[in-house]
Amino acid sequence: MDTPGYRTFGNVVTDLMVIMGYDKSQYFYLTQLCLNACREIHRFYTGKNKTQKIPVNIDLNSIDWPDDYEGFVSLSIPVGGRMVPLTRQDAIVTTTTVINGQETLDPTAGEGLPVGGPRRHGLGASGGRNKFYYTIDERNRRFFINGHNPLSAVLSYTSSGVEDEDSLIPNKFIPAIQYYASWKINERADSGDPRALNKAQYFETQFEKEATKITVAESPTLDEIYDAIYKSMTGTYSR
Amino acid sequence: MIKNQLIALIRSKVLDERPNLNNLYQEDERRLELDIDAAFNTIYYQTFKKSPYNLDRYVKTFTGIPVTEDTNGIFTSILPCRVIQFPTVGDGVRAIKSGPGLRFVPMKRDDMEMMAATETAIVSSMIGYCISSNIVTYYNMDSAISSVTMDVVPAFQAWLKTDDIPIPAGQDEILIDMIVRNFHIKPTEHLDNLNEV
Repeated sequence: MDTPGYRTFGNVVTDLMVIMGYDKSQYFYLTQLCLNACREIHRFYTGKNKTQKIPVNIDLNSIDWPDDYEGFVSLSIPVGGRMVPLTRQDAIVTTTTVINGQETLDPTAGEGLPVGGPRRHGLGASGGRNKFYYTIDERNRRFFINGHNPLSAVLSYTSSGVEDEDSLIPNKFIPAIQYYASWKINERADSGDPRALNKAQYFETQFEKEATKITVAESPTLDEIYDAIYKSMTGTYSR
Repeated sequence: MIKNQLIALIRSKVLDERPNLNNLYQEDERRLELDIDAAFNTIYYQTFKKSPYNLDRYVKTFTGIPVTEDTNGIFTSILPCRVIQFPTVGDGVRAIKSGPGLRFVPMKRDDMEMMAATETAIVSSMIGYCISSNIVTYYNMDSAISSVTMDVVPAFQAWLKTDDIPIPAGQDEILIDMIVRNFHIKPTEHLDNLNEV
């Protein structure tokens, strides 16, 4: 068998130490840099999101963010076998009313009332009208949903992608991680190397190149593009 | 070279150079060991300066060193012997080992205090250690570990008489010359101020 296509996060750090000749005393520092690199790649260069079924707080129509949530991708509810994404609607009232120390929704203050969407009948009717909406309450790390009150929703989000030393990291990430670490090491104030910032610039460019390769590798294949084109064609007249 | 042989060799060199020295002074092993100890520190430091990894050849392994936990939950061990100091994290302790799957890395004492607040503490099970005086303090120590194995670069006096002491390549003659030179220093002159009558 060939070498595996994944490395554990712990091994990615030790690989870096061996390849770059770092001392063992740098281990914790390098671990943090590799973690930051994984986060950067997951957030901006890859579509490998985390998907999780999250229970809905039916008293508040809210969904709490998971602890490892870093960036939003989509919030959906399952209808049949499909995921139907909710539409963002920032007009939803995100305040709550505290009674006896308990958060509740007060309809007289507009809390929890259905917001609906744009008109769909008569003059001024618009498309893109949905039944289900959500908004983000960033400060309290939760979503409010509206128009539907399911028991759970499916949240897709970005995270660092690293849970512990045994988390699996695709091999295609490794060159980018190593360049990221070299870039940040040279940015340190105590590097002591007069050319450190030049090197940092070089490694930043290399990181960008390697990270872009990850994005390119995940772009649709030719077959997928043809499929998308053919799917748009129907037997009806084209005008 | 066996430690006893090395001492005997240096003694004979010293006697060759200064046959008229007081025999008691020359033949006192403790005095000789102190001189050799100082010379060893210098030679090993020069080896370290060339590359810290060179030191791995000059370690002595001590097994079964107890790990104790104090009332604050801090785990420590006592160094098994006097070690040569090196200006690097981890000092003269080159490696600490325990059961399979457990790994130890040296760390700065300041980092030890800050580490609990970092993300690294969440994802890493690596055990850190730092040296202060003759105490090894552990970070993220597994409470199930009761003893460890240490690879240290011991001071010359910490080797047993029958131990084979590795001398850095090409440094044998330099080492012996450094020690013999110590015996060439003239005794302090009589410094009474004779004008003071």
